[in-house]
Amino acid sequence: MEHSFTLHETPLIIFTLLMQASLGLSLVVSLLFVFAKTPLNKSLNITENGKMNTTLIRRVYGLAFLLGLLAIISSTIHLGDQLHGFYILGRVFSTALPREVIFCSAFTGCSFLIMIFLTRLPIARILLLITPILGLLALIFMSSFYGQMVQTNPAWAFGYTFMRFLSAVCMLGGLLSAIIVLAQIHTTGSNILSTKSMYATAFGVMIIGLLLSFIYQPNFEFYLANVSGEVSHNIYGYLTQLSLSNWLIAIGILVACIDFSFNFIRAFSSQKPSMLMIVAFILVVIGLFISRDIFYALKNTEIM
Amino acid sequence: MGKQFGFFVDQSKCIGCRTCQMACKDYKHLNVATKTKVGQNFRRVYEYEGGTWQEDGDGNYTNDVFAYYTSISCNHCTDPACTKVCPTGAMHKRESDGIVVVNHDKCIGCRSCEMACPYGAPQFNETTGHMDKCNMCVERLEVNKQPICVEACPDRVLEVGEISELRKKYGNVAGVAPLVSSSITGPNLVIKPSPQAKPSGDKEGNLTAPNPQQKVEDAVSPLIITGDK
Repeated sequence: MEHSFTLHETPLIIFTLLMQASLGLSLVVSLLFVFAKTPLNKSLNITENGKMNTTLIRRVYGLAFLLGLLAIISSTIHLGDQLHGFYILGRVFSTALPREVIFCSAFTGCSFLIMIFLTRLPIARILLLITPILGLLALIFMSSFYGQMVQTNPAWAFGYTFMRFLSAVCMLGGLLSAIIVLAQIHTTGSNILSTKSMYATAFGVMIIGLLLSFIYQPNFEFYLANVSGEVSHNIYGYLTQLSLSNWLIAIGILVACIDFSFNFIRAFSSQKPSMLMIVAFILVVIGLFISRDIFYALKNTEIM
Repeated sequence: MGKQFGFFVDQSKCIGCRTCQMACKDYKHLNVATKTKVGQNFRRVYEYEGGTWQEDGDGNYTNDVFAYYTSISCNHCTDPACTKVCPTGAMHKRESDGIVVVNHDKCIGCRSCEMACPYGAPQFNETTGHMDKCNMCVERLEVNKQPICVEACPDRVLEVGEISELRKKYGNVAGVAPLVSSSITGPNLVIKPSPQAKPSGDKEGNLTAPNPQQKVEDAVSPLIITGDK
C-alpha cells in the first residue's frame, strides 16, 4: 500500500473542505427560497415573524462567512510567499486559479454582507441572489483549476472533479444546515414552518450529495484504470484509504438519516440538539478529508 | 520567437551513474535530502525496467527482461504546462531562447506548476518559499560554457544546443517510457533510445528508481543518515 498523506497539501485540503461547506450552506438557503415559491419578504417572514427567520438565515450565512474566511486563511498558509499574492490579479483572464481566488473571496464577502443587510429587503434580495451564483462560479473555477491540468494529470479531469466537489458541497452543506436548524429550535423553542422546510431541504441536499458520489465514484475509478500513465500513481495503491473514506462517509450519512427520521417522526419535539447529527458531520468530514488526500496524491509526477 | 534550446540524451550510452544529477545539485546549491524528503533535484535519472523469466516447456528458461536509464531535467517545452497554470506569470518562457524560468519576484509558491508538469521539473524551495527549476544553466550558456550536467557526464550522454540542430543530427524521438507522450507539452528534448527502450505509455515496465514515495532512509543506509558507527 502506498502512503498518500502529503503534509504540504493539508492546508489545501482544509481550504477546499471549508469553502465547500460554506458553499453548501448557501446552496441550502437558495434552494429553500426556490422551493418556497413565495416572495422573498414572505420567505423571510419579515412581516410576520421577522426576527425568528432572519436569525436563522443570518446564522447560516454567518457560519458560511466564518468557514469561508477560515478557508481563505488556510489557502494562504499553503503559499510559499503570500506577499506576492496580488500578482494574481494580472492573470485573471489567463488561468483558473486567480478566478477561483476572486470568486471565493467575493462569495465570502457577500456572505458577510448578507448578515448585515438581511432585513433591508432591496439589498438583501440582490445579495441573496448573487451570493449563490458567486459560490457556483467559485466551485466551477475551483474544479477547472484542476481540470486545466487534465492532459498532464488525467486524474483531475474537470467533470469528475466538479462532481466530487459538488458532492462534498451538498453533503457538508446539508449536514451543517441541519445542525443549525436543530440548534435554532433548541435555543428558541420555536417550531415554525420555514424552519422545518429548511430542515427538509438540508436533508434533500445531503441525499443529493450522496447520490452524486454514487454516480461519479465508480465511473471515476473506471476512467482512471484506463488513462493511468506509467508515472501515474495508481488509484489501486490507495484502496485501503479509499475504502476507509467511503465507509466513514456512508456511516456518517446513515447516522444523519437516522437523526433526520427521528426528528421528522417526533415533529421536532425534542428540546435538545441531537448529538447524532454532529457525530454524522464529523464522520463525513473525516471521510472527505481522506478522500481529498487521495485526490491530491493522484498526481502524475512527484519530485524525484 | 527567437532560438529554442533543448537537450539531447543518448539513452544507449547512459549507465545511470547520476553524476549529472549530483553535479547539478552541487552547482546549484540545491536543498539536500533529509530523512523524510529527497530534496531538490533539477536533473534526475529514471530507471525503467521490466520483463520476466519464462519456462519454454523443456526445462529451459528464457527472458525478456530489460532496464535502461533516462536522464531528465526541465525540457523547456514548446507548450509548457507549468506556465499555463501559473497564477502570477512568474513561470514564463523566455522569448530569446525558449528557456522556461521562474521570476522569483512574482512567484507565490503555490506549487501549481509542480502539479501540472508531467516531468517533475518545477520544485519547491522551502528556504525561499518559491519554485525553482532547471534554467539550462543559462548563465553558463551566455559565456559559451556547457550546462553543468552536460559537462559533468562521464559518458558524454548529454548535449545541449538549438533544438532544430539537435533534431537534424539525432532525430525526433522524445516519447520514451517512463516519460509521457511528447505530444502533450512538446518537450524540447531529443532522445537516442536504448535498444531496449519502450514507447511512452508502455505498460510492460515499471519506474523503479527514483521511487516517488521513496524516503532517504529507504535508499541509503541508516548508518549514513544518523551518523552512527
